[in-house]
Amino acid sequence: MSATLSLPYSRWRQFLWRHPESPLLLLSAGAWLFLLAGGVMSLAPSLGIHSHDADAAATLHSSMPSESYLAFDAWPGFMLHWSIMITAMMFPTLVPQVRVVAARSLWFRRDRSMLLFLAGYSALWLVYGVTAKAVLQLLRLFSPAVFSFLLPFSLLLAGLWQLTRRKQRSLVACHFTMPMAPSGWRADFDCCRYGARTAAYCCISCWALMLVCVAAGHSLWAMLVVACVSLAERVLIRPRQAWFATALFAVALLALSAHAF
Amino acid sequence: MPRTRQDVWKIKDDTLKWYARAVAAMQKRPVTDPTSWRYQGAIHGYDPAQDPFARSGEKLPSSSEQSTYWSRCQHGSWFFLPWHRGYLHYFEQILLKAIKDLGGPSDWALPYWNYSDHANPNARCLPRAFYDPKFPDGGPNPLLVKARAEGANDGDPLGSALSADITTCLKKLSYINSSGGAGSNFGGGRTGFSHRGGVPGALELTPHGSMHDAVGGDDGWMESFETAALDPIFWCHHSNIDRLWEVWRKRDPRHTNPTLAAWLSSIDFDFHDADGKPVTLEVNQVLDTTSPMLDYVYQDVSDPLGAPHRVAEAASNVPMEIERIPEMVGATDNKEINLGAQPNSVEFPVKPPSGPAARARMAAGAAAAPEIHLNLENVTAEARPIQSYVVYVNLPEGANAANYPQLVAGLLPKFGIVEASRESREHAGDGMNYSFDITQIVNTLQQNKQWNPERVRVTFVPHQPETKRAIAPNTKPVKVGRISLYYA
Repeated sequence: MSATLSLPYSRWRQFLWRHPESPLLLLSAGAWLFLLAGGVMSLAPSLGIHSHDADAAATLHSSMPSESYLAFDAWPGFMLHWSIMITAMMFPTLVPQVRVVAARSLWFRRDRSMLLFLAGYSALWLVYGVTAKAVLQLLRLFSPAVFSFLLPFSLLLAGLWQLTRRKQRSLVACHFTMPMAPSGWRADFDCCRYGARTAAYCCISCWALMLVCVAAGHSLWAMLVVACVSLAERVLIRPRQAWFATALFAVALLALSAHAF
Repeated sequence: MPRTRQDVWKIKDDTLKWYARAVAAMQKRPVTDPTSWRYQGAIHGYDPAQDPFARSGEKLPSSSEQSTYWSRCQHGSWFFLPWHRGYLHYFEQILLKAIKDLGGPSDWALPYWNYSDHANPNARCLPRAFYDPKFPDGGPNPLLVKARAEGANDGDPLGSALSADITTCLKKLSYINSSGGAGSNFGGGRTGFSHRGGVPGALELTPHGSMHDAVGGDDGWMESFETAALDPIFWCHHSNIDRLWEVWRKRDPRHTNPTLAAWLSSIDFDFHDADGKPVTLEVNQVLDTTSPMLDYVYQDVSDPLGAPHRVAEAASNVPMEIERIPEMVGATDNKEINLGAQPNSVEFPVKPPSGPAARARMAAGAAAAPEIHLNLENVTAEARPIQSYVVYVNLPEGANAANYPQLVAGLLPKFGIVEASRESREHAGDGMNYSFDITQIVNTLQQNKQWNPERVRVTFVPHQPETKRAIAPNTKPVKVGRISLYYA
């Protein structure tokens, strides 16, 4: 083809026009950097979290969730950390949907639409995180013996879930698109609704994997592995869930062994 | 010397007889054999509930094997053409081996069905070999499938001239659709592996989808991803689609394939060769049909639009290629639009472009005349539609649509809609998306001072195939999630 028309706008701006999903990936990268740099640890004293990452490391060894992490007074820290986790781990899986939201929005409200989509998406995941934490707290309170096996149990559960038909279908459904009103409050509402609906499918698909992260006290390694699995099963042509399940079973066995000895 | 794929209407030798014999041989093989008829059909799509040959308790390939090789067809994607070329190649190799084993010619090649041949008044009819009840060798004809459109097996013309139209697709300059899901070009939009599909390219829409509809009718095998490849005419239809890719490429030096590694080599497609052994294929292996591996040419790849079209196209082109970024300027709200037995019109407001489309015009003036695209989003159907629809732009209220061919945006095909509307292991259940280039229509309306840039009217008129039989209306409506307008 012949020469490209030069527009009076910077290359970066034109890049953003073509790739409206770029800020999403930057956000995710920032969240990963924050987690890697131990950002939560630095915030811990002000949020009522006590040496969380150190606890998390111990958790993997003992295959038990961190005591302080699941303490009732750690809610603000948990919610902040959970939100950063979702941004780091799940936002890269949303590239196709965010591109759809941008493309199907009037130009002047593209950024707003994407933000509302992400708000709806994150809100539902936050509900899941809070519920998971509450259930685990109750489990710890009423059945400490079962609670002590939480990590291997959640790994086994995640492995089994990977093999179910419901998991396969919800993984495909994560690519769902829906019509959205073009303007007004209905457009805002539809963007949130689309985000929440996408999150609902993602929660069904990934709830067991994310439970592993919670059970592992948000260990960085657990987050990295779960993020890679979530992304891989969306990107691969036909993901071999049996491989993911086998890997999870193997880690569950290791965790059980560590617990026994 | 490469083998020649012949026009099915111009065959003078025994090509179709050998096709029928080889099909019969493949049909005798068990479904677990990768070279069997059912296995090859399942590569395109498989749903046990739709399998017309299913028997209770029969042994199927393992779920792992099904996951690797079945339901792999690429639609709504820039892989649509290369995947189907690879699919046809290995199918042809399986047929060729069967033909040679039966003592047939070693240079046999799959014929193509050129339904767009204006020189042939029967072009849109099925050749007799596909509906004769008796096979020349005796016994039932393996090329006959009863589940086809009304009149198909009586030699009636199928669909309409619109179904077989190749003008729109062959005039597309680019292969890849515009980014952002608006603006279809020749070959489809950039996707990953895409059985689910995004916005199809112009060729995939018409004549590919529309001729699937024309042969499949209301509930024929050609109407569904899962059963289409069980009809022997499917392979001749796709041979023609593959030929049109060659026609498009050869008719204008600007018509070039993508050169991105993401298209050429990022994905391996899985098939079986003529011996039933697993093979993988990349796009860059199927770009030259005369390569030692593919080894075929088409009987006719001349430009069916001819020189006058080329001159007109050259004159209408902008002086330089603009890297267009589509911008949505208006849409209906999110209430579903139900399409039934009667024409249905929808109007929606349009805002002037304020993003890249506006800025490109500011920068380049009249040279950067915008492309205008009409998108139909999330088109779904609960039951298989009997009728498809012709989409008109700004058709006057109460007007007889037949008098306004200049306002036709395109044909809304129904091929695969039901499958794409059901949540399953293969589909998210959100339906199909289509994009029509309406730049020419808008230009015409502007010239006639009939274009209101602040309001667009879209009308869906039930498509009437040229059959002697009456077409029953749809039992359940086709639903359009949203209609949107894009400037690029």
